[in-house]
Amino acid sequence: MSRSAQVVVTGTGAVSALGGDAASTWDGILEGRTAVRHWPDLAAEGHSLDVACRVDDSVWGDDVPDVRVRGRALARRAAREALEDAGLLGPDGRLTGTVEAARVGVFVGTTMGESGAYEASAATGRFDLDDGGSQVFADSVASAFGLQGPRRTLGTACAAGNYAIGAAARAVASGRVDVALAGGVEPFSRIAMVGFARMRAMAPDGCAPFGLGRRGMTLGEGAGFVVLRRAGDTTAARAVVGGLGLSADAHHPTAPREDGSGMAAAMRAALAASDLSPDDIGWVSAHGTGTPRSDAAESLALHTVFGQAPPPVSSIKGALGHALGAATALDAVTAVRSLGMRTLPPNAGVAQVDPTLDVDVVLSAREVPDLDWVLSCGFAFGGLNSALVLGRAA
Amino acid sequence: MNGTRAQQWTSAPLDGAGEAIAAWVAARLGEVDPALPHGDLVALHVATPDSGSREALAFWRAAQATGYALAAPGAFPWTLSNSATGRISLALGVTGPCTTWVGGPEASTEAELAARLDLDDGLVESAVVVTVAGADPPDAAGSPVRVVLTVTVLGPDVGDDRCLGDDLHPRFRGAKPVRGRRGP
Repeated sequence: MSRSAQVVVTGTGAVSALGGDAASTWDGILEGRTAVRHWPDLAAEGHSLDVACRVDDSVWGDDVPDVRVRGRALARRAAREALEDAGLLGPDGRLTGTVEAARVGVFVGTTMGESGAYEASAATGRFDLDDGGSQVFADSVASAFGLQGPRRTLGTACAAGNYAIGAAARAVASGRVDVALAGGVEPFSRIAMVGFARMRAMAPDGCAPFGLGRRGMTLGEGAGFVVLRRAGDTTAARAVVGGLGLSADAHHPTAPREDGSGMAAAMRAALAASDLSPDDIGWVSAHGTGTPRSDAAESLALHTVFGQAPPPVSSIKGALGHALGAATALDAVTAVRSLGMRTLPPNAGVAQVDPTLDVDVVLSAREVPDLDWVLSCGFAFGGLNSALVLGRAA
Repeated sequence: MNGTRAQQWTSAPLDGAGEAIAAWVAARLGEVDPALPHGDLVALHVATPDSGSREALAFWRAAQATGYALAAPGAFPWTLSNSATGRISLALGVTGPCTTWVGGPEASTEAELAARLDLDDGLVESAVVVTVAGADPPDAAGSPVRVVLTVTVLGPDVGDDRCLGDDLHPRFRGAKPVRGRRGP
């Protein structure tokens, strides 16, 4: 794949249950830490499970956001870091004059919007879609930093970050915008906590992606953003954006195809869109939710695409939980760091890998000097599959 | 040259959300099936301002009534904004790229633009663009909702009459699942 004519990442930002920025999130993941905790407030409210990965209030200092605007606060925090990292914010917190505001687009993936606003409506009897729907995140970020290009919201649930980054890369590559801020946001959702718990999709003691005896996911929250530009417009590339592969199972509202064929189709499409062969991929940042069926299907997909010996695999959901609409955006931020450090992050939460999956799960940080390309996977309810290729900057 | 055909329906007020709306959408799509293309060389782009919103409000109301630990989980998947997309992909048998764009008119515009790019980039051979929207905004009381559905088909030789009907192009008449380079 030619690196010269590509879209590149010039900045990253994140807020996760392991930290209030991309660096602390990466450090925590690399150390193999997990943010899984018991939360007394959830137990007191009567939730059947009280284990989750939530952004600690200490991240906010004295300015803890109200639950009804929590997602917007997460989004602005991660977006600010990404824009600053890309050198695009001035001392006043607005865009510098180096880029035209109308040529900066915002692409945000999420699941349902401000979950806290939905939850609060039960008490108030009122709900305003313009103040709680999914599009509020892109609007909030654009307003906060004076970004005047197109604002787009990708409502593709657990794979939404990949969709947003892919759409943004397309807009940058085509010249429709010069800069794109792209990522995903998900505030902690009690609606999701109840829903996943009652679907028996959650582990009572923390998720163990690809682990022996894994029992399910752990709900997380957070935000992740990357800044994208054309390679020729910058000398500050952190990573190259390859192709996005998408597919649909057309199979079941929640369950993946058991043979992983839909997932494999997305992976293959991503490789094809990047002009890469399976041998080029040095690490798979897996969807890896820790649910028995999804991990098994993903493992089969990896074998379908990569043959008998897929590349090393790890999921950051054992560390951060499943941040739903933010999950693949956090994956992308992690992948950019991984490529820069040439180090594969460990798959936290697993003592013993499920041998029936037959995949090389990274259990401790692993240096890979020749790491060039990463495949980052995200799969959503509704059978929507995504795989995004990211590469080392030249 | 790529052409376009489109059709629109409006439902009667539908009690309940999620599955009821999805079933109605699937039934309308069934009215033009097998006219609509399907398979892995077809893209589906769904634009919606409110998919999942009514469902989230209803699910939460019900969970509060029963207690969280006893909430019925069946409606939960419909709280996600991509639930309509998943249901439509299932109804049509579309296994190519399927995307949900959330927002007002700009989302519909973006969905059609993305579909055209999918065609221009050679990712797919045809595309279906669907707009699903409640006729009224979601409210916390869970009022019945009329749903407006618009289906647009884009692809080579589709024509430009913007009307799906009995005069469908042979390409979409009795279409078979498309198999090709993207399949696993």
